[in-house]
Amino acid sequence: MIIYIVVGGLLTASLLSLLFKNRVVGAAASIIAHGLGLIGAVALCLRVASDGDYIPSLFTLVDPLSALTVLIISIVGLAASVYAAPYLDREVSKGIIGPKRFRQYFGLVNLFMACMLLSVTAAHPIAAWIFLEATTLSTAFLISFYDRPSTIEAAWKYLIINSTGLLLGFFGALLFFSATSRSGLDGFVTWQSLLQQAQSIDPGVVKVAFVFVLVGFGTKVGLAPMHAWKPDAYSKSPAPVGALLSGALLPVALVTILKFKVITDTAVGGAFSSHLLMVLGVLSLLIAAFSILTIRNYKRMMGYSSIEHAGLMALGFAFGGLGAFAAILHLIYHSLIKAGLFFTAGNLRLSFHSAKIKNVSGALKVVPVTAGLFMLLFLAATGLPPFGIFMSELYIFGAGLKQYPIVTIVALLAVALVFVGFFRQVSAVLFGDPPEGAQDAKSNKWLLIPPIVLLSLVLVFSFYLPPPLLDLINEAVRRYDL
Amino acid sequence: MQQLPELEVIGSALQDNVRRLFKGSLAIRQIDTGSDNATEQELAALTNAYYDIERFGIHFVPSPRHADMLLVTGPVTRNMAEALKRAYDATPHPKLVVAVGDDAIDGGIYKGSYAVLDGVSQVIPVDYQIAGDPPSPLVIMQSLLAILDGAKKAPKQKGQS
Amino acid sequence: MMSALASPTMLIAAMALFGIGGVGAVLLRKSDRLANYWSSAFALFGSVTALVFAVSMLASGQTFVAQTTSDSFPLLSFALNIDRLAAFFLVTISIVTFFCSLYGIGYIKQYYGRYNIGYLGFLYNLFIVAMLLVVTSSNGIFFLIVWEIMSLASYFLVAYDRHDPENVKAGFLYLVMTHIGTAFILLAFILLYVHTGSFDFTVIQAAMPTVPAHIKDSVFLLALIGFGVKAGIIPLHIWLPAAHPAAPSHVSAIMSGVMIKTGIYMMIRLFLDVLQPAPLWWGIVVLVIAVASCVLGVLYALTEHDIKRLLAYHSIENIGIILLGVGSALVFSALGMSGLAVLALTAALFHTLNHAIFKSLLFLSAGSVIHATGTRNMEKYGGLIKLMPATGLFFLVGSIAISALPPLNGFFSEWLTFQALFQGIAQTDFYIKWLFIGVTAALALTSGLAVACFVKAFGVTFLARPRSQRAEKAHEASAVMIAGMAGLAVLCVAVGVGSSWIIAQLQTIAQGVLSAGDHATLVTVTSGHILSIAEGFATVSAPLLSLLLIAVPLVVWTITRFGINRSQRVTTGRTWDGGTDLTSRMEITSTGFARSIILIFRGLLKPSLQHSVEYEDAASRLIPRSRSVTLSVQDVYRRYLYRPVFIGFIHLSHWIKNGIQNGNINAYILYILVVLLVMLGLVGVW
Repeated sequence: MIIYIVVGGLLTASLLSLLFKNRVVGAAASIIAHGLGLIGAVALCLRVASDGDYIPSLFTLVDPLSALTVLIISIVGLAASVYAAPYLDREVSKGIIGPKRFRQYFGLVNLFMACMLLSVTAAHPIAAWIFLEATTLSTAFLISFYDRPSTIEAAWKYLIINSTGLLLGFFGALLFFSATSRSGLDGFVTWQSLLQQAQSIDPGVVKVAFVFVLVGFGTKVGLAPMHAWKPDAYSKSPAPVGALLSGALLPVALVTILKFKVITDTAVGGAFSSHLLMVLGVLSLLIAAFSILTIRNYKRMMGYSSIEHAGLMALGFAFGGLGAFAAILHLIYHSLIKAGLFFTAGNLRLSFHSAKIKNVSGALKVVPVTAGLFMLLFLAATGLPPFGIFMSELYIFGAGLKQYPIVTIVALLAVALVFVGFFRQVSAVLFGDPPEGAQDAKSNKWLLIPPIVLLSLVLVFSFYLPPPLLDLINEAVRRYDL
Repeated sequence: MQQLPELEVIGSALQDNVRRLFKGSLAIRQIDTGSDNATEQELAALTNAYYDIERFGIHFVPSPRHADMLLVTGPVTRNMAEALKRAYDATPHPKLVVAVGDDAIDGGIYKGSYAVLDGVSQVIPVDYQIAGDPPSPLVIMQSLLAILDGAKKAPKQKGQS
Repeated sequence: MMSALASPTMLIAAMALFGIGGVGAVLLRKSDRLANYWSSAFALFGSVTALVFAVSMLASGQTFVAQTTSDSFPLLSFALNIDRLAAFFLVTISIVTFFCSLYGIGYIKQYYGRYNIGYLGFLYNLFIVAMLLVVTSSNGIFFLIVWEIMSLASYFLVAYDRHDPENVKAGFLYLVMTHIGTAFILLAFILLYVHTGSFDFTVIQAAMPTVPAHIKDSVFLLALIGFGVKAGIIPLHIWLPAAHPAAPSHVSAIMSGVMIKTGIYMMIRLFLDVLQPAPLWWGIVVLVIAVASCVLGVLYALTEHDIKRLLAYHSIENIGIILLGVGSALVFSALGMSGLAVLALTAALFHTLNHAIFKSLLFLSAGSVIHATGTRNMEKYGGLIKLMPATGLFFLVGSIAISALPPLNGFFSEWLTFQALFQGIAQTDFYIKWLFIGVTAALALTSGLAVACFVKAFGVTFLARPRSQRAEKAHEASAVMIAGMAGLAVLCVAVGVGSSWIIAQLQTIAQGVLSAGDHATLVTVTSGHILSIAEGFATVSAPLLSLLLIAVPLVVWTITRFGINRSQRVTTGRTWDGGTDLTSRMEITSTGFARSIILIFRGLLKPSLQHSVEYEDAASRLIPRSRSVTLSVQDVYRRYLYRPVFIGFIHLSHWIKNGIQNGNINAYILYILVVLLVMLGLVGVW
């Protein structure tokens, strides 16, 4: 029931913000709905951790990994809506967008959240696909939010590439069904029943099907070389949308791949999917690392950073064992950190009116708190202790070094290169003399609280994982890593 | 070239004195305080092959720090007065100050000029004078001999003061 | 009493004091004064507590082991292992941090109102805590965490004076280099983990016999590079001369005095302890690197006229000297000569302690000079000893110590290093003998050049006349700053005079590290504190030497005063100046002093000489207005190694970024198709 209530709340908030002319209503309703969502997600996690899978109806199946994902997207979603209100408000007051847009944002973003929640909790693979496709539609409008030629181009690219990808993914999902048809599986197919039949399905077809699924959903995740939409979409969309794309949509798509992966692994053994994931993972890492080194736009940099982290997670799942554990940890840390980074990047944009690195300098002088947060979140994102990504990266490398030394070493060097590139840009943004016209946007503390909270959460999780959370992760690893 | 017979005589007398007073080596620092270079010509002649005063134990040194004796030439121009004073201060005790040439004694032909101070004695205490405009090398040597003859005990006493 | 002081509570108390100091400083950040006093005072208390703890650990000879495994994270355990070696490094760190904190109270005042003192205090305390944990941790992951925190804290300290873009650049270079180093260390530890199943040093050590030789060799090379970056060995040193000058001087002192030693500590810990037994070539590699570092380090120091860069290059030189000891110890222990290995390691440890003391003293006094004159350029100093006599005296003490002149501490450790090398020449066979002969020659050259360099540094800075207006108006450092320097200066003398006792203590530490018994005693201290190597091969007595050095000038003075020159009197007059006023332009400059040596080594240093003339009248070029000669030394590493690599990466980056992200959506779709086809092709293979 929890899921339905939460989704219902989100849809209501969506309707309210579209219906009521008063901006406050929509924003408040959204924040309340997201807050309810977070409470629901925590309750869901506790329940799954103690009682196992949560199956309220034929259409919904929440296993540990889904529960974790629900938790992540709820946290990021709440933070994004809390941040979006003052952020968009400021843009309205600056005349960048009209008041109508403000309402449209909350209308769309609630839909987006609802679709993600439904996708990740759907029991049926095709249902999961449908809701994921539905996110594409709502996010396309969010990406073209500013209605400029460049943003429309970004949204268009996003739409084309993702539709192509998801079409391939759909085809892959269908292939899975056709592979099982001879095993006498009928009626309503769920992830569980698919997995139970996995032993008896045709290995050749499963392999082909997984390739389609991986390429298709990998497009949504943003694994290279299907990543091309990411830098554009991330840099052109409003900051909270970027946070949602990177912090919520990426996990949802990745988890969907994992659900297919476990079926594939059961059918044909783990090596096949691991090798494929490794290829994409290393490609993503290398392309991201080299691109970040000379990037000229700090929001595009976030996009490449997401590609890098998606690559790392792919490697972790490919290595398995400790690697899978680390990859799930990484998933959690990455979502929180990346959302925080997008918020601080949004603050920088508000103060400097530009996302180009050459137009932004001396942030420490103009917006000291935002700049400090940006620095810390950057350190967290590039895997410096005491932040948790350091641990997850260490585990991933540790898991891979023995069997795949070259892949691991390349990955390690790529991560180091990402640090160099990222640091180069952060240095340029933070230090030096500020350009004229830069002004402090800190007057609204609600622009700062979401990233601070996310950063604190990351710090807490870096030292201490609450037992239910740890149980969920371990259980997820047990289920998804064969 | 014919050598002057007096040269050897004066020289060996000088050498005796130098040996007796200065353990065989008299170090002279020459200071030009704005001279017309006539005296310098004569002093320079002392070290040439003809007079070769060094063989008698007398030599010119580049720093007052090493000198036993200051040979001051020239009428002391205003610009050189300070330098002369400093050179005098820089010379260790016991020291002899000899004004060489008429200019150095009282200004000579420049006497009364606004640019000069009319003689070394106006600036630092002068012990001896060697007259002439300029004095010839032989005269200088004779004078030095006279000075050293007269200064048998004097330097030591001055040093005590 | 002793057991109470040596209990882990003391260590926890020390950490807590630093913690209170750091957090309190942030809370008190609104008031610069309060934040400064609070953080410095707690850093002082913490240092004293850590010092007491470490000294009593050493005195009681016990080993403290503690381990708390993490519930949340597998493989991570907060493991501490404080044996004698760790305790020795704790002593070294806490001595230096104590005096630097004292000095800092006065030094930080110049940042009032310009920067946030609270964060400085926080980072400073965090930096010290991380260093203390680095030398005590015995779990690879825990170690890496504190290691990176140490690097991060020091990065923020380097970039603290951020209004100067040079400092920001230096910080960037530092963090990038240290991060790359950490990547190597990470790989080394993961490699060990993969083959031993644990990150705990004790487990790794126990499992060492099962680790294949090529894995050990890889770990050695990776760790050598990783820790070499931190220690500043050539050619991985490029961050060091940039970062040390950028940090506030009391932080430079800690970075140069002790932080780079953590790299040495880990090399000793891994190569001589955890990874033993080691093959011979490890030692030879370390020796070669050591020679390169000490000779090139001192040569580059000679060419510098930035006082802190000069000192930074000397750190590289001294790291080289320490590594000579470590490398010899590796060679000896590979050859089974445990006694000689102990001797060499003792020398390395002693030089570590000494360098920590005199280098921090030098950095602190350089800091006072910079504080007083506002510049790091030695060409703009001169005559400072008249204006700041105390600082001048302390700098002189430090200079004598680093030049290895008796009876100060530097002499004894360098003497001991020489003895270890001599024993290497005497007792090994042909090839190793020649290696040691070469190494000894290099050390001798280094010592000579170091003296020349510090004659230059002291002379150009403190003697003659001021060469700039700021230098004319220089003022003596404040009382606390003088106190901080004085303490270290006294230690320089005390450690020198008491060297025989200290060496005996260090020998036990070295024996513990190498698991060598008491029979491996090459250094003996006979009655009268005479230090004797290998039963009388060489002997030295510090007290006697000191006495001699005090007695000889005394006797000479007495004789000249009362014997020879009874009848003469001394007058003090002005300097003989040839009648014209002396000006600072007549002095020898730093560049001029070093010129002849630079030209001797021009093959190595690649100096460039530039003459430039500025004319009064550009058209006729008859009357020059000014002439200048610039003698500069290229940074060959940057130019031929780092720069090309960096530019290569940038080009590759442009190529990849613009090639792939070309804005053409057809191409993007094509990627998806190609990857799909390739993967479908792979279905048949995998």
